[in-house]
Amino acid sequence: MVPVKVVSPGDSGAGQGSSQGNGGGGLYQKEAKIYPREIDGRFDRLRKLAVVVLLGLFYGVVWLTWDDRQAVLFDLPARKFYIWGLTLWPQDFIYLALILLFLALSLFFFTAIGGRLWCGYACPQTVWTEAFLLMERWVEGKRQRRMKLDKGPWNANRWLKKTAKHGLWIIFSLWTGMTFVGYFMPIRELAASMVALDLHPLAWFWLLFYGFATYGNAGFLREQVCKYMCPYARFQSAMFDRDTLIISYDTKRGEPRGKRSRGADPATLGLGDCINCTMCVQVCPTGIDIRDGLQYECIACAACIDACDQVMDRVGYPRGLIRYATENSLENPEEDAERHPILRPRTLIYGTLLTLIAVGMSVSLLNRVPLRMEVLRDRNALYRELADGRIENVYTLKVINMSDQPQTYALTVRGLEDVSLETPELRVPAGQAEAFPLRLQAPRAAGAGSRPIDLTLTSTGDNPIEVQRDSRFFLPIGSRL
Amino acid sequence: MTSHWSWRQRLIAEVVWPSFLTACLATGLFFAKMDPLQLLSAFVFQLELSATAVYSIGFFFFWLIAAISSLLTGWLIRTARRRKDYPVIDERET
Repeated sequence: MVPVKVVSPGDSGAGQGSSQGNGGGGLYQKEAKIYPREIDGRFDRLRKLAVVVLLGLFYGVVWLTWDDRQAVLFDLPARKFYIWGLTLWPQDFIYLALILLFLALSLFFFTAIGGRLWCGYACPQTVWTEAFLLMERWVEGKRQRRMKLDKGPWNANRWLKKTAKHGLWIIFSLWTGMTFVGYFMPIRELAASMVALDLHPLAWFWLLFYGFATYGNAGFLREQVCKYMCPYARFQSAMFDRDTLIISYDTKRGEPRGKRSRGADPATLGLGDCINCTMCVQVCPTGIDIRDGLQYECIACAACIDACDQVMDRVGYPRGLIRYATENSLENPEEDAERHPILRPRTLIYGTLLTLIAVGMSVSLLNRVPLRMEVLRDRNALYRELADGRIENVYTLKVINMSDQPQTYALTVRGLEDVSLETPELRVPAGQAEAFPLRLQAPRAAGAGSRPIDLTLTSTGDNPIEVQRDSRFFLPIGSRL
Repeated sequence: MTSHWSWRQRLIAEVVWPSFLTACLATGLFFAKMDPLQLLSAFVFQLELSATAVYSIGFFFFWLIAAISSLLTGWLIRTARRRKDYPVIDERET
C-alpha cells in the first residue's frame, strides 16, 4: 500500500497559478478551465497508438461478418451472444461471469506492476477524450490560440470555430452511438433503417443516449470524471506496493528546485536538477503538480514525463527527473538503481489466478457439449393407469440445440425394467430450443412409489454427443383395490 | 470543464455515476436468469412490450432505485454531525 497524497490545488506548485489560471486563491473556484499544453513525446505517441488501436477495434469489429452473420453481436431479444464462432446462451452465464472476473484480475495485475496503465492508455474515458481533444486542436488550434479564442469576443471567427468543433463532436458522437447499438442489433440493418428513416424508436433512444454520454463525457467532463466519479481512482493505492512502477518525481535529484542561468552549475548554487519551469504542471490534464507526490487525481498519462524529458534535453541534464519509478528505487537510488522486481507475492498470486481462470475457461469451452436438455414432470398427475394395466408418466422435454446445424436426437431411459417411451421425432433446428411431450410407460410390476430414472439424449449424426438428466417415475403404492 | 466542482455538481456525479454502474451490473445479473417475455407473462394485466423495451425499462428501473440509494447515502454523509476524530468536510461551509 502506497499512501496517496491529498493535495489541495491552493498549495501545489509555484508556477501553477500563473500558468494555469486557476490560482492559489480559493479552494473551490469554479470557472477556471484547464488548458493542458500539448506535448509530443514517447508516452504521448504510445497513447495515440492505443487510441487508434482501441477505437479502431470498437468502430471496426462491429462491421465484420462470420458465417453469414455479424461476427460480434449481442442479440438480446433472442438471448444469444455471438462472438465469432462461439454462441453463448443464457445457460452459459458462468462464462460471462468468468470473463468479467478475468478482466478485473487483469486490472489488479497490471496496476500492481505498472500503476494506472489502464487510466493512461486504455480507459474509454481517456481514449474518447483524446479523440475529442484531437478534433478540438484541429479546429481551434493549440493551447495559446484556444485560450485567446475563449477570452475574445463572440465574433464571426469564434462562432465559426465553435460551431465547427461541436458539429464534428456531434457527428462523431452519433457515429459512436450507432456503433454501440450495432453491437446489439445487426449494424447493416441499423444503418439501412437509419438512412430510410424508419429506425425503431428504442434504437434511436439508445443511439442518442450513448452518443450524448460520449459527447458529454469526452467533450466536457473529461478528467473531472476521473477526479470525482471514478471508483478505481480511489482504491488504486490498495493495489500499489513499494515495487509498483508509478509516475514519480525524483525528489532527491530535483530538490531544491530553482531557476538558474543557462550553463550554471547547480552544485555551486546549491540547487537540484529541477529548474522549476512548471512544464510538468502545464501539461497535466488534471491540473496537479507531480512534484507534490502521488495524488489520486493523477491518471498516469505520463505527459509530465514527456515534458520534463524535453526540458532536461534542452538544459543538458540527464532525462528521467520525472519517470516511471518504484518507491523502493527512489528511496534507495544507490542500491541497484532501477530494480523493480516483477515477480513478487502480489503479482504471483494475481498471475496464478489469471492463468487458472484462463486455462479453466478454455478447457471448459473446448469441451462444451452444444446440447442441453431439461426434463419437466407433468404437474397435473403423478401417474395414469392405462387400459392394458401399464402405468404412464408424462413429461415435457426441453431440448436446446446449441450447435450451428439442425440435429435429430434419440432418447433412452434407464432405471426401470421393461419401460417403453413415446415421443415425436426429436428434431431441433440449429441454435433453437424446442419442447416435446414425452410419455413413459412401465408395467405395474416395475415397482412402487417414486423410482429414479436416468434419461440420455444422443445426437444421431456424425460425432454423436450426449447429455444425461435424472428424473423420477411414479408408480402406485400398495396393492390394487 | 471547470477545474473544481461545486458540492452540488459533485453530489449529482456521486449519485448518477455509481448508480449507473450498479444498474448495469443488476441488469446483467437479473436478465441473465430472467427472460423478459416470460417476465411480461407473469403480470396480471397484459402488456404489449418488446423484449428490448423490457430490457430498457429494467435498466432504468434499476438505475432509479440505485440512484435513490446513492442520494440517501450522500445526504446522510453530508448531514452528519462533524466530530474531531471523524472530519467530514462540508464544502458549503468553506
